[in-house]
Amino acid sequence: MRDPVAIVGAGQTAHRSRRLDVSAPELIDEAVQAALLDARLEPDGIDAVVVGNMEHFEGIHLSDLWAVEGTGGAGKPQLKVATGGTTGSSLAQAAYYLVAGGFFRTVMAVGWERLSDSEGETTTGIVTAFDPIYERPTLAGAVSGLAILACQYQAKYGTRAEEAALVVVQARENAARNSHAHLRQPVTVAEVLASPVLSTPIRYLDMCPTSDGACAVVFTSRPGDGRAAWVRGVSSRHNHTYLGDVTEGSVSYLHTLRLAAEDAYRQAGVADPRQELDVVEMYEPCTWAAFEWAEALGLCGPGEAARMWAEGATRRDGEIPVNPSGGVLCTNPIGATGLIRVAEASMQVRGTAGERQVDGARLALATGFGGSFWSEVMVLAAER
Amino acid sequence: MSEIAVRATPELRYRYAAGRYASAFLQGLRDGRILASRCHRCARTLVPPRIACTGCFAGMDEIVTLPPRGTLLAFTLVAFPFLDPFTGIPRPVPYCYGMVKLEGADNTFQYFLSEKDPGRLRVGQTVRAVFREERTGSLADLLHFAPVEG
Amino acid sequence: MRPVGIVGVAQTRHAERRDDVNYAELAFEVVSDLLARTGWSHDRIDTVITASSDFWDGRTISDMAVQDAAGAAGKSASKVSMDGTFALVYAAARIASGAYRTCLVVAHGKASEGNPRLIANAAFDPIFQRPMGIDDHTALGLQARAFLDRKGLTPEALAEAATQSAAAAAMNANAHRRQAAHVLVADPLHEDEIAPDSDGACAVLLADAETVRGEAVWLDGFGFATDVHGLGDRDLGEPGVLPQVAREAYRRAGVQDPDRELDVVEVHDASSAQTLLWREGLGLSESGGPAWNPSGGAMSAQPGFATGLVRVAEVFGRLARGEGKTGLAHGMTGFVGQAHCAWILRKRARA
Repeated sequence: MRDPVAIVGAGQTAHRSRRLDVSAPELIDEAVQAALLDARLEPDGIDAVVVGNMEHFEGIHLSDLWAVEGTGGAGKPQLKVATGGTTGSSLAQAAYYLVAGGFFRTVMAVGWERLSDSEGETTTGIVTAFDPIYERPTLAGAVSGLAILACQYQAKYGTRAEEAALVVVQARENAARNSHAHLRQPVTVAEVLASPVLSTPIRYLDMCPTSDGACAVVFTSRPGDGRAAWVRGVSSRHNHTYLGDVTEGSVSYLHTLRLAAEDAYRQAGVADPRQELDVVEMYEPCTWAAFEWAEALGLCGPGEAARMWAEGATRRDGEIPVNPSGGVLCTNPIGATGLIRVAEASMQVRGTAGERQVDGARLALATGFGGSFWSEVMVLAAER
Repeated sequence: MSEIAVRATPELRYRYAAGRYASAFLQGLRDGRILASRCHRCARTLVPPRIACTGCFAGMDEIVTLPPRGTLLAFTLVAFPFLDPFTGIPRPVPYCYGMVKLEGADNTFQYFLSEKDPGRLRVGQTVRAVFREERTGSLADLLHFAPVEG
Repeated sequence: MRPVGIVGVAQTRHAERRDDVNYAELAFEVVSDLLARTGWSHDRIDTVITASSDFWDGRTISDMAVQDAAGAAGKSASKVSMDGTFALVYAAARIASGAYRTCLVVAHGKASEGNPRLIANAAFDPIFQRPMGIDDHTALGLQARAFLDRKGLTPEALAEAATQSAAAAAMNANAHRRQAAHVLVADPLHEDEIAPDSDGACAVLLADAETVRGEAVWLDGFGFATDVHGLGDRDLGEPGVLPQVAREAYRRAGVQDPDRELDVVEVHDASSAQTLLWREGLGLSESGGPAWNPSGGAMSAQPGFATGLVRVAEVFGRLARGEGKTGLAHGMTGFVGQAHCAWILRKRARA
């Protein structure tokens, strides 16, 4: 009953700490033009636009309406989907369903954020996602929320800080091959361990940056002759009334990712993700999270993720490459971050990932993560 | 061409209605008690109390008092400065908070801990709630959770 | 479009302040009401789309506050940061894709928790427009003046439209009861010619053709579009992208003569000028034709992003009760009608 949907183009900006050379519509336009070029489409080939941006960070209410000249939405159907960290992946899902439902033939998903506009107050903004009475007094944004998670993981498996640090060491190595990435310089384990503690056990270099950037991805039911990345599985789960609910009855802290992945794998006919997936672009907001997420995705058993990284299985030339783009640890413009995962995964499957291409990639996974421990998963394949 | 940045600082004030359940919880704190809601259908007990049972979507009608004791399941020492959206000034750091599984609850409660040295905290420790002497019906009536020795 | 039907709707009694509930309790109230009315249990809901405004709620990721209370725990859920009519598009697409059989849409807005004028000011361009102190009311005033000038009307036309809206609202049990004075707020608009700031919520339950059997109310067509942003970049006295949106909805639904074929129309009119302007934008003649805003429209209650979804609920209610076969429900996002969405609802046996 569903119309098969494929990604035929992706574009992103040069993500940086501060893109003062452009206004938001200009920043968005940079990504949109790149996506149109990649998809070999003119603007009138886009039937509808789905956009995402977290308005509190830039202090612009209804930012989608303000930025319409950059998104290409003026005079067109445009929807805004903004769900926090998962914004980018939620955009991809919305664009997918609009095409799969037969509402439009070609839909562009566009996400952006100018975190530099919040002038260092990103954590302040994130704190407001949570309940004003119960959660805001203690919570220190995403950092402490993730620190709580890392504390549990560490207590359960005895994982050492040096092991977690390997995740960002590898991420930076990958980002060196990605001219769009924000943080590309190499780091060593020693440097990570020497960086200031933000919220135990998370140190400064364990944590993702805040970036200015935009990303655009084109979904269509009529891909023509060009190389396409077909959407084979789409799912999401969340669990949150209050943060303490996340541990309710669950063995794995981020059970939402496990549930969403199982659903997406079932749709895509993936029985053994470790064997069948060629590349994973996961939304890892900090080093420790990468271990938790890898286990939730079924890439390895409980407590085994650190070994997977240590043995090089997750390198670009390894058995199950993770984040050849450098991932969130190297680039994080919140409204775009989840969409960049989808863009990068689609590029892998279409063979357009250039220097960061995983050879022969035909099945890829993209994940999104955000407030309310929201997990989103998309499976992309070279075959329809 | 020089780059111009224009500063705009929307100062927006909000007045959040606590709602039925939070109002009851805060009044409970004033009385020195920690309240939870229990689902009449599946018996799930959740703190703080809330209207919807996450498991079976029944309205959680029953309010129960939990013992002021539990197990520490996770903790962190927050060490980096950031602007507090409540006060508009940087929140004083360092401070420590954790997730406490109170006896009888099916979830955990997130709150401040007395200990400022994470080396003296352990996942699995028994902790107890410490209330302030003077209480007004705000979350701060609960001072913190402190490890129980022995 | 593939058949998507409406199983049922519910809305709160809209009010100036609902201090007795937080957002979760407000959402739970309207969803529980919907489930009670339809006799459905919450586990029959496959997926949920919410609509809310982060700035209005004073919460980044405002959907987090309502998801579980809307019955989304354990399910795939998402959110549209626009009026509920736009969220309805996403919801209908999820069903039309075949991925889900049923979908719940929940929209809420509490004007009482923040300052709507200051929040509105934050929507205008920070470099060129905000410093003027513009907000939604002053922008509506600009639009009303441009509209009157274009049509050669006097402000009495606005007063008359407001009187008709108020008369209809008096018959609407869910209307936000208020005392609005005939006092100038933003020339030429008076307080009683501007829609109120309300607290309220609305829920609509959708299902596919296998689930909704027999004669029912179906979503037969939609149109939506966004105009340019800058107030000086468009003529506020004109209906903007609404004619294009209406044409798209009519085309998808096979409506050729709206005056004759539509039995009831509900629009989001943020001012009495919009009551008249949107009628023109929908291609309807100035008098006669369908029942117009029988609920009183947004002039009867304006609970933020729930306002357009309430229009859908009102049209559904009338069609379900046999007061016509075809209706149009309209919603907006942005000020002075930057983005519009229109839905055609029809009561008919499943084709």
